[in-house]
Amino acid sequence: MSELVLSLSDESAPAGDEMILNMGPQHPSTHGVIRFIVRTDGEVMSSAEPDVGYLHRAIEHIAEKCTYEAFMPYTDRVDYVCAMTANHAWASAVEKLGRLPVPPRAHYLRVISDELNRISSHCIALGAMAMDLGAVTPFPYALREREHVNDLLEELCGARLTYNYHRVGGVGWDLTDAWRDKVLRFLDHFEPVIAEFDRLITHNEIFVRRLAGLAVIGRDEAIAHGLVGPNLRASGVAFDLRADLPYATYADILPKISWKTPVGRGAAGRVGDAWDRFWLRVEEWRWSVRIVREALDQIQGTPRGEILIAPKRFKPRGDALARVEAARGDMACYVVGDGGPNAYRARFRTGSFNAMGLVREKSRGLMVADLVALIASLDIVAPEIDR
Amino acid sequence: MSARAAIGPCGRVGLVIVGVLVALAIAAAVTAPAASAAEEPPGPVREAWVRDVSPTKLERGDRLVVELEAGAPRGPAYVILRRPPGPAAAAAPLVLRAQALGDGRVVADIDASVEARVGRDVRWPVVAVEVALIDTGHGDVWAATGGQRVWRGAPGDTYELDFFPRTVRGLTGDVAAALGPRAARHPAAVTLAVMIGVALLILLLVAPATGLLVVWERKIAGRMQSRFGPNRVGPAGWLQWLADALKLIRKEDLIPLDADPLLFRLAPYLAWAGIFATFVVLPLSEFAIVADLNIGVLYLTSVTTFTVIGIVMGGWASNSKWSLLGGMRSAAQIISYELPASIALLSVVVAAGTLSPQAIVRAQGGLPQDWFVFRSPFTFVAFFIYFISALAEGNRTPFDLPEAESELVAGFTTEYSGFRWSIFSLAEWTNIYVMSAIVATVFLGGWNVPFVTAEAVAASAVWRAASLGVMLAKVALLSFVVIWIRWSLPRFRVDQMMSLCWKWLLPTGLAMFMASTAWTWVDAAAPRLGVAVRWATFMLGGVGLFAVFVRRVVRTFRATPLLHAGARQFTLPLFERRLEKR
Repeated sequence: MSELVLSLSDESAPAGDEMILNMGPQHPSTHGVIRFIVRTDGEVMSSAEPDVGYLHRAIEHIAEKCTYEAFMPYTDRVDYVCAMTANHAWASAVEKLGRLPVPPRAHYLRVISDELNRISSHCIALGAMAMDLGAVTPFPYALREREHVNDLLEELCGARLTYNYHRVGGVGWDLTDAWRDKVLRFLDHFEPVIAEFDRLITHNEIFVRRLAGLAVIGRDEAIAHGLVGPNLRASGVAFDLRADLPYATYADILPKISWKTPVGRGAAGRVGDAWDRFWLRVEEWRWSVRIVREALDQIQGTPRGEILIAPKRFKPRGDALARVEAARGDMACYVVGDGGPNAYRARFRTGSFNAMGLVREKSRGLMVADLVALIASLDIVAPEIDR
Repeated sequence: MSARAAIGPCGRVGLVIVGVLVALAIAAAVTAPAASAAEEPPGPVREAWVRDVSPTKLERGDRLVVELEAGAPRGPAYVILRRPPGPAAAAAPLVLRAQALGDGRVVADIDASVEARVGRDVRWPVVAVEVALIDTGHGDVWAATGGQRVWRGAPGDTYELDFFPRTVRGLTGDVAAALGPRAARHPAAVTLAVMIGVALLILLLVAPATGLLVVWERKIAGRMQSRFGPNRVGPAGWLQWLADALKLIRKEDLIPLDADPLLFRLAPYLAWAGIFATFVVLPLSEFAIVADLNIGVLYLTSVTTFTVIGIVMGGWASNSKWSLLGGMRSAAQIISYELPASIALLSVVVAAGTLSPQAIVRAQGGLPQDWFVFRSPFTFVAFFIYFISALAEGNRTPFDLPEAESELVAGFTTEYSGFRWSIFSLAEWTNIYVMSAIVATVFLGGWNVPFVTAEAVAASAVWRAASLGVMLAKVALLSFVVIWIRWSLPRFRVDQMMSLCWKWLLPTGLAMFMASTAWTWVDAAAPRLGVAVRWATFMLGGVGLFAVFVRRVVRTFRATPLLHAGARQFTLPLFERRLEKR
């Protein structure tokens, strides 16, 4: 970290009225322990240099030190806001590596838990973004709904944040009919809440004016920087792993709900602006609700209790890559096995890290207040950057 | 042009102004007559009639002017006010020490000693005003009636002199009277004691009221966000402010190492003084006002700006970049929004024809169509301009940029803690009350009780109490709106905040000011048209806007049936927390 400070001051010492503002690692709006070295003249920034690594816990290295099954709880910590998809990515990669069968009911449960987790993750993203722009009330509104999701997931797998629900070869627990009813009740409750949330903040005049045309990421730029997930789609690229490289049972579900990948339309300003990224996540709420409904419907056709085919004496050899659509986009898990009980190497490719690469470029000429909006609109989660 | 050259003329102009002022002061001091008359031998007597007495309502600090029929010499004089015969003590004449100015006017200053003799809240029927004049120089005018020459008013002339209307200011007279003649000899000491007493009273009343406002805000915020808010300390949490205050006072006294220690300590009190000074002229009711200054509105706009000095000082003295950014934003914001706020107030001032808060309230009525907000379409617009500007001056959302917690950590209060922080926040929350009171006074009829005239309010103790209730209710409602806005809206960016002020509010405010000025003439020339416009503004602006609001609320509730019964969803968990048996 100190090297970065040195190099910054060597290359470009603050000129004229500029000053260097150290934003983070403890700052209310950096969404975790991230540091930004902001060069600013009054309110206008000339650059904001992200300095990552404060939350590095060597998770990928831990994967080499414990068995494939035992690593599952660690994947929760890759992205603790949306832990279920990290579970899913690891499980899929290991299953691919060992060519393990997975019961269809487990696939449905994975889809249901993923989508519920996506809802709760977007609750945090949208609520925190509104809060960063000074609107305090949308945050507890979103968190209230997240509590409902947490209650549901707690009932499904016993944990509210780090689930450890998926298993190599299936999932940990089956759902009950009562739980299924509760999810349906929640979805009935949640759909009008989305409309309410839209009225509360998405189309608020001040909010739209703050975000419209802010930090526009063009289509080509987004692809060049390897943006994924909602950030990519907000820039107008209709790419969603669930539809384009379907895994689990998405191929059965999406056609039934006449899926159409939501993309940014520039309704407030230009395609790919911060408002588009906000709006797109609201849209994803709506689609997740439909997916969960359909999955809960289709899961009725699978035999109850067949949720896990646990591997025996599992010592795979070779390598495998699995990609899932996490809340922060394409999460790829690459795993190499050398015939032992542990992975030889594991690697997670996450959305937030690539998004951080855009901050420096996009922050030029923005105001300090807009930097906060930019970070929030990219939905950055610190542990996902550093792992 | 160099900076020095630009400053040069200003400096010279300033020097000239100061020089003229000093010269005037010296001239005034030299030509001022001696305070007391020397004993002079009796001489020839001249008579004249008292022509006029003004003003008819006297308070401490006022000046009684008696105009004489014929030109009189200058010199010390006495003004004697005779009352109709009655109980012996009450009918004693009041002798005021005065000065004859040499142009036919004799002036008597009403000071604390007069207050002590008259008491407050006195209406004095005066049957005769007499002036005794003692010439010091030429030996031609002497006192009669036992050594004093008297200039008499016409026999039978009656004047009603109102001494000391019911204000807290009259307290000085009361105190002086209660302390007896010794106190009357030291009016300055009595005045000082009363000033300190009143200041303490305001502090003791306002600080807890502000504390309650904080609790109320947190409760409203809780309701809006589906949570409870404070509900532990005291009945339903209403003593939370006390616990918070105690906690803050007991905190360690912390000053950052590199901070400027003096300015860092001073800043919170400056910010606080600016807000608290407004209470001098805020009319809480027909009787509860410290001083009904005749420049009250000007005073209000001036002292509230004082706060910015404290905020900038705190931001700079903290020696932290976040604090500095917050202080800079605050300076830009408050100075900018001072303009539209003042101009919006001026639109009403021209309509009322006075700067005195009590007179502005008295110019309105108890019912909405008589309020200044509906006086004309222009004051209606000015009302919104003022309200928005007041939000900005008070650093309230959507203008809370100086302490934007998501951007600047805590803005200018970043380095503050404990007692000093609590003084900053006390000032901030008191400001909600102050801005609400100003809006209520200037635009929303102040303490006027519906269906009761201001005279009737003054006459009855019950109505006076009701007037206090009406004012407090208006203030509470406006405070609620301020809080409601805070918990609903996002924050402006600094450039948007500036462009809103300079591109929209200020030009509109200026236009409204000019239109309101013009309308004052129209109103005077065609009173019936004025009343029609007043009603039209009330119906379209007031009733119409309220109808639109109600319609939106109803529609929102219809659109979200599940949220319709917010309380049910709030108190009953959507799901049972008990885990199902697997």
